[in-house]
Amino acid sequence: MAATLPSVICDDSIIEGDIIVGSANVVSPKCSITVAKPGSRIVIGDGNVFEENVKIVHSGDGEMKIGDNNIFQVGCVFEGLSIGSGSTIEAGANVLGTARIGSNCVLGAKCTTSTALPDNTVVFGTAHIRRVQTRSNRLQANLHARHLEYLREVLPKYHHMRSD
Amino acid sequence: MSLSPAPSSTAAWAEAARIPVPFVYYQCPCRNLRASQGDVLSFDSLTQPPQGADILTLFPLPRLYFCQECARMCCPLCVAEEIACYYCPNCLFEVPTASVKAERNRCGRNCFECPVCENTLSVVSMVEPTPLAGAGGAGPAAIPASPGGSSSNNTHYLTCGACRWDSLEVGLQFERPTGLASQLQPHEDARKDAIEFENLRQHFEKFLKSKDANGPTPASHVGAGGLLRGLSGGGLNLPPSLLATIPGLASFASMSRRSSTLRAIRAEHKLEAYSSSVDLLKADDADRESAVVLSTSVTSLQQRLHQPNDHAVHKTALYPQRIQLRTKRSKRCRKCDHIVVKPEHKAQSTRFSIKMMASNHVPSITLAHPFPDKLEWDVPVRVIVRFTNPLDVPIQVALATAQSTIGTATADRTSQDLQNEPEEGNCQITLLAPNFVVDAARDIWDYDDDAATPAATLPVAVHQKARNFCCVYVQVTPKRPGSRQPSSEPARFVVETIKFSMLVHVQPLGHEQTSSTEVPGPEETAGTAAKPDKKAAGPLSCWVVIGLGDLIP
Repeated sequence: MAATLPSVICDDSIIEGDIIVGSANVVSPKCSITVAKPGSRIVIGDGNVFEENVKIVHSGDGEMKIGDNNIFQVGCVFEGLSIGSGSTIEAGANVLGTARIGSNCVLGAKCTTSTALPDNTVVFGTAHIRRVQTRSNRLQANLHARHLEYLREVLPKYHHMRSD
Repeated sequence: MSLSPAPSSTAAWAEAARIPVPFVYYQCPCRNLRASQGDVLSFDSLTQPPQGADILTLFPLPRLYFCQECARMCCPLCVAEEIACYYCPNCLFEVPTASVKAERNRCGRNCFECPVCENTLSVVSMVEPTPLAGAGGAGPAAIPASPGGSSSNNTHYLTCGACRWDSLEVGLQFERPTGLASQLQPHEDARKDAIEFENLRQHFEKFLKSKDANGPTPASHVGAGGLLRGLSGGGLNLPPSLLATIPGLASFASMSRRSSTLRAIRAEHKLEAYSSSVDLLKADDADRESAVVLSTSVTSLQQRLHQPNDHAVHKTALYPQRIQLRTKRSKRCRKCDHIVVKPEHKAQSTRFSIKMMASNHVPSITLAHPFPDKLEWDVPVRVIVRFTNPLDVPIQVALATAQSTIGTATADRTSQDLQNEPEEGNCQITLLAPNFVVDAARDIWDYDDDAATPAATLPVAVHQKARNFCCVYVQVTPKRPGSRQPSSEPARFVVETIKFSMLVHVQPLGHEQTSSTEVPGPEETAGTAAKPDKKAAGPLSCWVVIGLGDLIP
């Protein structure tokens, strides 16, 4: 839908290492995406939202893959191997170690996972309970598109943008 | 001294009843009120320190109320609660008492809780997929509509923000986004268990009606039964469990009910057999077994308990529940029936029109820094206990221990007299400062910056005195209970909580002096209660149990 738009990356964010960023992503201020080892890289798809204080850390070898239309909410930490498309990592959640997140997953607020989440998995509550959601991804796609549109419009009014 | 020990598995029952250390608990005088004959507290009744079982009468200060009429503390056990209003915690709608029962104690508007995770559900609109959108190809089949633009072919469903459950999973959708409960009502009434319940009720009602018609009831029984029926069924809307808690009434109620039922049975001789018209819970066992094997589709115990109608076993049978109503309660002193807590009636308001908390009338007692490094058997340590005065008059505090209260209870005693044997507790305590004065509480900006009394001028055994508090030393010597645990048997690993009890007597040094130099007497409740100045309260005494920490041998 917004495939040709450039990504909106705030100047106040940290992006270090070999990172390939797709189109129409939004990187909020105070957000850091880092590759620790030389030789490894992060590949980011299209239309992802990285909110404030999000930390994406790739400390292993090889490639960390981030799909399309994911949303990383405030203060979450992602250290996993890959994430599919249309997933939500809610505020304060942690994806540790070698976890792989599927598509259309929800990792609830303050939840932690160090194991893989298959597609459509929801993790919620203090006990990090898992269940499979039946809601279609398409239902959320429209909402996500409008979210992206709004951020693209509003963020440049209040923050310096990275020009590259 | 370990402040947060790992609970030992021995003596599990005692452990369960243990209060986590360190603590300062007050004993409500209601125990002594019950024990003594009259209503007046006698000083004798306070000579016994709290024993082992009295743990249930001990409360931390914030949980205690204060009755000004009786000039005493009230614990949650000695106040009577009345329901002031029912309201829904989600929409804050105040439900009239008369309709609470009809709505089955649940919100009858738009509030539902998730059957999976008990969060509040929200209503979401969805536009039905139209042929046009389908023809467009790329367009999504269903678009969440904006709240304003609701067209006629919108459907609405419930969704949970936490676990992403939605009511479409159980095939539940609504035509209008408001009044969901009333839209669900026909569906709920059609449930098997609801029909069965209705049938049962009709069956027994028929029987009870015929009983009422047949039995020539004497007037006296009509009076009692009628009153009770009126109470439980009519405008007051009291649950039977509440009636059962009224001591005299419960036995009376059951008796009258039993006798009338007996009479009815005699008249009718038998109740015709009830045959269930609904095929309910019959074929379930095999079903359950197969469900349990495939354990992913079985509900958790918690989820089942939240489905009061049928305790659904299958996850697919989970059904959104209307949110339970909450109550605001006012509390009365059981002794004098005066209100100690009265919330404001509006559901939105969090204020109280009357709130008599003990923390505003009774000095708060805390353990102050520095704590002793370590607790060891037979090694005396000095503990600092801080008394903070909430009143706007200075107070005279007199302390005593279990041993020293026996015999003549004189206020002026030397510290040597207070040396006492190890009593019920497991330590020997010496009150180094049995009498001291705590200054009045003032607004925080009224205190001088250098108000703390210089250490040189402090009375003996007073550690610090400033503003409205006073810290005093108490010497504590943990004593191994020799008879209980001989040293030759060290096998049992028992964590001993070092605790001691202390009788605290508080005498406000008011504007008008009461009989000052006298023995701090019993609480002359009737005399002081009538005085117009509310703050100048009468003397007050109570037992306080202080737990220092655990001694791990």
